[in-house]
Amino acid sequence: MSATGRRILSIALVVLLAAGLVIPGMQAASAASTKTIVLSIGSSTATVDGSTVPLDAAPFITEGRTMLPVRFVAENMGAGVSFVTQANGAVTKVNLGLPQGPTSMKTLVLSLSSATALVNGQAVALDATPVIRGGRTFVPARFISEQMGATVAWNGTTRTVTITMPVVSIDVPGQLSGAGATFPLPLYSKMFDVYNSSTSVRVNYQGIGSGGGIKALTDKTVDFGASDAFLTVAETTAMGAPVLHIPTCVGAVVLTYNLDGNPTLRFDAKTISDIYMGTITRWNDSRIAALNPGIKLPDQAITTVHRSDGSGTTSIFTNYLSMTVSAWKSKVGAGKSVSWPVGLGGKGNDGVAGLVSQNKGSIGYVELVYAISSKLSYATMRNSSGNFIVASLSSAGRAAQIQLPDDLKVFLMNSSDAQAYPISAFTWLLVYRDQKYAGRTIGQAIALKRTLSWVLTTGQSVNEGLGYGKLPQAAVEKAQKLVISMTYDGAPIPD
Amino acid sequence: MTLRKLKNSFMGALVAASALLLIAVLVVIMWHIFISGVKYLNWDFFTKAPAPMGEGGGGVFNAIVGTFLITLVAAAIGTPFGMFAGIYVAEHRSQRFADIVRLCADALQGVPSIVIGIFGYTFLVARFRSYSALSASIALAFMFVPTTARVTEEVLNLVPSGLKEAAYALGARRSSVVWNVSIKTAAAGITSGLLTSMARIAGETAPLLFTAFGSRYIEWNMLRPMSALPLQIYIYASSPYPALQQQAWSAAFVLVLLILLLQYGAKHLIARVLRVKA
Repeated sequence: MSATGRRILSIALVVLLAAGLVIPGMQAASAASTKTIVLSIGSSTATVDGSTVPLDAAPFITEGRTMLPVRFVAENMGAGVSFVTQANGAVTKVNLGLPQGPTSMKTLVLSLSSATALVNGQAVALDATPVIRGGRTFVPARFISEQMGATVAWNGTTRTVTITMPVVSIDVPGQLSGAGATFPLPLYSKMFDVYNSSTSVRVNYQGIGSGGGIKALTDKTVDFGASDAFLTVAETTAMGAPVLHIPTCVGAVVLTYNLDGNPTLRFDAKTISDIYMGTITRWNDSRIAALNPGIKLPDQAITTVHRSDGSGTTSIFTNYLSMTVSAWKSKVGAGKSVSWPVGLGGKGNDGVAGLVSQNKGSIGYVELVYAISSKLSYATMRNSSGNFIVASLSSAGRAAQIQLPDDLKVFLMNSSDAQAYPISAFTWLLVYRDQKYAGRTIGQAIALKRTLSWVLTTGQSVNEGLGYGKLPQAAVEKAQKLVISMTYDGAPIPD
Repeated sequence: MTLRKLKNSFMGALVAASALLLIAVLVVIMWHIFISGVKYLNWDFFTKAPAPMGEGGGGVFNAIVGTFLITLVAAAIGTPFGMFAGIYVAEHRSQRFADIVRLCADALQGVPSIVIGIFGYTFLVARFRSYSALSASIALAFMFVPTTARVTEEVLNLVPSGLKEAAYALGARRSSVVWNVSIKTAAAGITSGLLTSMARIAGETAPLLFTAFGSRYIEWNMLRPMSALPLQIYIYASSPYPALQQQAWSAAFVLVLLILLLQYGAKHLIARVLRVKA
């Protein structure tokens, strides 16, 4: 090849490389178009751009004004909807979010039986008041349409309303990224693989530890964080804005040990606390023997193994001991890392499992899935009702069968359920409640909301195949409410 | 006389033993990686993205793509800076500023890679609110520039002064001497230096942990998170699944092979330079 040829080739390569960096940024902006919706009074079907869609309730006319079911507005007109309810569940207000562009949102707040609405915080008179009929919330069609920039035509002979609305094109990205806890990593890896094959959305989750996930969300470098421990007061302050905790599964921490013959041992919180505080030092100690009649325990020293890194697993384990043993609470305490009185440290669940399998007479705590996949034997634990429970998906899931707070920031350790495994806990995805931050678009917020909704519904079927407890129905419902409460610039995010 | 002989043979044995130990360490590492890694190599391993954790099969194509892209872009960013700095230092040997540049290159070379990683996180990832392969490339370029600068300088110093003087005697300008004599003569040496530097950054893990972040998907866009072989090895080796731990060995084997190839290429080029000189 001649020198000129080579020069041209190298220039071409550099140009190609530069193009590779630029082209993905040049996504085509789709042209503005309109959507035509035709509604008939009293009919529970409508046509949207010529195709028939069902309504959950038929539009009706009151005082000469057409009223539309709010669900139709959300599903077919691209609005985000959330309700403000009283303690008894009665709706008092309807919040609507109308996307105006990639990062601009119009907020409507309509109060039931009030003729005044708030549009971006400004009071605006309504031509008709929102009402509830047959359990459905209805809003005035003309007001909503005009706020969306649509034109409304009434045909008195056919009794039809034709709404011609501009389509605001929202680019919902096909990529999301999240980081955090390693304990649910196998679960998220499988979940997001299933999600990718059904929706072609790529959710990239990296297990960098709960602490790392919280840091990444604080730095706003990921769409969501993940943690096995809920945010501390200091971490919440550092976030700078309210963060929602969306639980995804119930996990169990088990005590695994290395003894000849792999006996299945029984423990209670006090014995575990004594072992980890160094007051029980040998396997044939009478306190262990008392819990394990009929098992021949060796005259062997106990080596305790704990996590050397800051870990959500440690937080679950130490919080359990602090809740149940007062001496542990006063001498060691609870947290993602504590100062251990005795024992060896291993990095990560795998590090602890490795140390236990290499040292005869050692005991360590790991997540259930790590014990199962490493084929380690693990102990049966006595729960708050005095029953000895084997850690399993169902016994961990039982731990969540308790009265749950609305924000779902709750410890499940030492659950009051009689069949619950006592060292069980939620693991959470963390997201900012208001998604308008750091230049994020409405499209990104929609992609995140859809993913979270999927994880709580279809995604739950992945849990049990992998060794994680499903969320109980009560937890799913509360979590869904949290997802719906997400906002963009204060307005509900469209589905 | 006997004492001297004794000393001689003792020191000789010591030196030989150290040399053998060096070889033995390399052989043990290579052998272990080969034995553990080669078993699980198959076509899927090179062509597929990873399967979900805990499921069999899948490959590291995403990481292979990532390692190539990140390393090449890092080299593309770092080469001009490194080469020009090296040329400057070689051409202005007696100047104070050249000494300062050389000192800085040496200092930068000594900065631990984890520090480069934190730097990349703070100034690129946190600033632009996104992990990306490009931020990894820029971080790696910071490791690439000093080695390239030093190698370029050293190779240029090897160019016989007679050659340059002959060019000056023919009336060539300085720029012409630098381009047509020094760089032409040293081209193979400089290229070999570039390859060695690339081999060095291809195996780096710490900066990638903070910047490239990793991805399970085959990613070609430099502005998104991307995987790379060292990252994939790190993730797989600490996973709870034996199948993934085995894949970590296979990935290690591929990475070592890649780096050895780069270094072999570099050695080969150096040999050519030496022949040209002779």
